[in-house]
Amino acid sequence: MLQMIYNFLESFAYISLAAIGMSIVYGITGITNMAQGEFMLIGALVVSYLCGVAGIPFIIGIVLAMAVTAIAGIILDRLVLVRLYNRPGDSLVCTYGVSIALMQVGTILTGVGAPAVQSPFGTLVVGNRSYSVYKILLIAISFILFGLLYVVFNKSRFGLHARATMEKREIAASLGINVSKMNILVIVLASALGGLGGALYAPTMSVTGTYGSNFLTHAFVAMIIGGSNPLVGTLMAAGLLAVVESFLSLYFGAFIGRIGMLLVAIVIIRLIPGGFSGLVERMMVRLRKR
Amino acid sequence: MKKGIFSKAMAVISAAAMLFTTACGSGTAQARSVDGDTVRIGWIHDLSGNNAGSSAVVSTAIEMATEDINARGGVLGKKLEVVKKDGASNTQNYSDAANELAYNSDVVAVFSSGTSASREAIRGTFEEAKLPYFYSSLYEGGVASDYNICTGQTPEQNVLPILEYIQANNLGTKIYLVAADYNFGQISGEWLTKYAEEMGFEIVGSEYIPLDVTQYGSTITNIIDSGAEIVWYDLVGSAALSFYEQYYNATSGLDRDILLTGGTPLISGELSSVDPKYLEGILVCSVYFEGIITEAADFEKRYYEKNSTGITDAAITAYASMMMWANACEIAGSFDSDAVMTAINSGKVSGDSGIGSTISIDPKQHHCNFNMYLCRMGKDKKMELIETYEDVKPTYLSSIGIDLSTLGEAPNKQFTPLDD
Repeated sequence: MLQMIYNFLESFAYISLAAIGMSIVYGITGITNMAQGEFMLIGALVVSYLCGVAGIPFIIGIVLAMAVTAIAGIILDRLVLVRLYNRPGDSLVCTYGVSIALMQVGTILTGVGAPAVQSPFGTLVVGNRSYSVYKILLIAISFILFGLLYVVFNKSRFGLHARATMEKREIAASLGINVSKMNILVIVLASALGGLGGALYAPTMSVTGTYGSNFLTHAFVAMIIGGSNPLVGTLMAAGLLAVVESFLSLYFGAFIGRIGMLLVAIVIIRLIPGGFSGLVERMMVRLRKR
Repeated sequence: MKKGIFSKAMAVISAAAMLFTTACGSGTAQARSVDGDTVRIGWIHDLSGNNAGSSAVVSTAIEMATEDINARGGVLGKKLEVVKKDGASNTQNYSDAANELAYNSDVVAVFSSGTSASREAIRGTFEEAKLPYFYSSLYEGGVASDYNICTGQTPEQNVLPILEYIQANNLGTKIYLVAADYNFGQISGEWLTKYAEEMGFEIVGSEYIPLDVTQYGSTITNIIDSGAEIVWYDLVGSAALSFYEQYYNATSGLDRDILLTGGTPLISGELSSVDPKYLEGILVCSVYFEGIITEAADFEKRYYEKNSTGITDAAITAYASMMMWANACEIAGSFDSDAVMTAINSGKVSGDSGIGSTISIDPKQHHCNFNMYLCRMGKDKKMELIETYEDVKPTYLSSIGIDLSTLGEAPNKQFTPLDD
């Protein structure tokens, strides 16, 4: 039982950390960023070379990874994304192309694979099973991240402006909110989160050019069924997908787990086109009417 | 009006010309005339992508073999040149490369070392074009083809020694199988099941996992819950490298020892990309491991002057395949496909493995014999040799009555335990 909960939480953390960056960008700027996986790759590469080779402490490696990815985000924004605001279909194609290019660059850089980083902290033994303390930490980080983002989005000025932009762009602009500055800030935030996710998972996986594409399926599906609210949507989407995948994988194998997860996504989108965000919004509207 | 008819006529003529030339190219054996001082062979392997970890070493092996062949005067007095194609771990690229090499180039033989899926996608092309095609990777066995020679180890050569060792040392009887979900993994799984059940082992669970999965939490939970004492690992590709760390962390507190073994540990780039701590205790049997074969020291030294990636058996079998082809040409006295294949079918073809042994092609089975080394991984990537099996011959195809020594009569299909 504990094992099942652990597998579910592992899956939840994986999907959340991969999807949160993509969801934030989608919700606030209307861009589908298929290159999010490559931001994760950049984060992982920074950590692999700084920590795996130069021996820099892991924490510093992660901070640097976030900084480097944030800069990469700005570059991507100024070069490509600035023309693609509020064009989910076009941005998907463009960023997919960027993703392929970055993947090849990553392959040229890493060849067979980047240097390995050992996952810190060892294991915790409960009963007859051992659990990776590092993985438990990642699960904790994913929850803390949701908490922090909640505080930022709901209790800060920036968050207020961001939510306004998300809801009604033109009116927010007319109220004096600098919408283009908002866009850049959001993309910087999302890419830094991507770098964070990629760096955090680097010790548990092999980092090759295709590292980012490992996360992309889950991130994209979670983003779509989450809808435009990056917090509520991603949280619920990651939760549902994690339940489905971990449960099915446990009883029927990884292959069925994958298929089940994708089928559930198709059903959800068919039933609730606005995703979970849309569902929650309608529920809130109905509650307010009473 | 005149212009219109003229351009229409030109269109028809050029279309006909194109059809004519493509018709000439497909389905017939292109006469390979080797002019000048060079002879060319084609090599298709994965320089990038999910399978680069197992194939990158092959590039260096090709370079070393080319140097060695040219240093002794080339093949039949002609200098050897290699036309390389990157499969990029994508089967479609293999098909395109194969068509180009077969019908649009002057190579006299083709070699490849990608996945079994890529081999099956292109084997037919070379059988139709009647071009010698060497597949140098270890694989699941059973290919009975006129023009395809497989120079890698097969399950009858590396599974049995492992199972016998486990039985002789009472390391357990319950096996959980984890294999890649494509033809190689599925058929290897059938082989393991066949041998294991014949020897009295119990398969307590099996999972076939897609090639791009990186999170193995549920699988590992299943392994522990099943009471398995042995995990048989047949995963492939760089996504699977994540398995070792997750497996180590999930099982290090267990009250029982689970042996990690199988057909494919350590061939996908583990030695370069996975922390040594997670590889300790793995039991494997292969044609080559670094540091345990004294005669291989020179080869290893020369290899590391060119490439820093850890050497695997893929390099050795690729090197040997080129040596055997060169020997076949010399026995045949020509580069002509049928002459080369007839030389192979005479049973006299052999080649230097580079590590102090000679590998020959069995004329009736088109597979090779190897010295097999049963080893266990110690600390810090140091391999410990347990036993050497000399001259392990291929047996499967002969055991089901296949004889490929007459050119033109092969079934040209792959046999698996399900067919028996």
